Amino acid sequence: MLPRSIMKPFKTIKLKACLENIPEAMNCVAQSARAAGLDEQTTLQIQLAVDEACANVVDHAYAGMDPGEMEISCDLEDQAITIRVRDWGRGFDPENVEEPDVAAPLEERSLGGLGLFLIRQTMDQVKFTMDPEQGNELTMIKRLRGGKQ
Amino acid sequence: MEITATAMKRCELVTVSGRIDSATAPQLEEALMGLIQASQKNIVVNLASTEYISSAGLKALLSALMKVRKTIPKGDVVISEITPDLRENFELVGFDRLFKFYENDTQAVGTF
Repeated sequence: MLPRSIMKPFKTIKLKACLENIPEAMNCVAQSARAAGLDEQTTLQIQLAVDEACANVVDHAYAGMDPGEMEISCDLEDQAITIRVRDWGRGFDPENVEEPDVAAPLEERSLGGLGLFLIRQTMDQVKFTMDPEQGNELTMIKRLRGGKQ
Repeated sequence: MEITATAMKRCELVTVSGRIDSATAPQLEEALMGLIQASQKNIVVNLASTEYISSAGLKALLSALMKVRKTIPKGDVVISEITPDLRENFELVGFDRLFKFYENDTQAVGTF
């Protein structure tokens, strides 16, 4: 169990929503995760989730319009790390995204849906909210199991 | 991320090092599509030094595989020296059913 002394909020970063800024978002979250003593596997999984979430903002939330901003924050509390990715573009309902058929043969595979699928596979809880003023927010929660090994 | 491509007798050996994330995956896709458009349809992708791959990278590999399998005669994209962590991501999205994996470049190149 992680000591309560390191249960404090991580920082928030706001970036222009473009592919080139995604590594910065990933590195920020990774630094925060490592500073809190999370193991490397968990840190990589969190980075992957942030990568996928930000890519969806770039590719879908601001598709067809000038890229706006994306805000990434992470909090460590109650034995879980919570990552929030917020945008002010076009909202979407993840429930409407068809899950890829990972057992399908090559000729039946589609290229879409892998990002959200990976987020759901690596994070324990995923939820999405839309607010006309506060923006769209994807919340991803990873329960921690023992912290640093 | 760095990509090096080496022409072998019957295939191209593409070595990727670094991270294949959403920002760098377009470079990988461009490299693979460039080879295919230049009529190189047998490709070995070495991932020994690839520490991370996102869905964008996975899609680039899948796109390339789909394309070469439609050529006549059919080509292939195979994976060499994948690390256990990356193999896990491939298995999550069912790519272990689609790609062939080899322990080293000699074996991979030798299949063509």
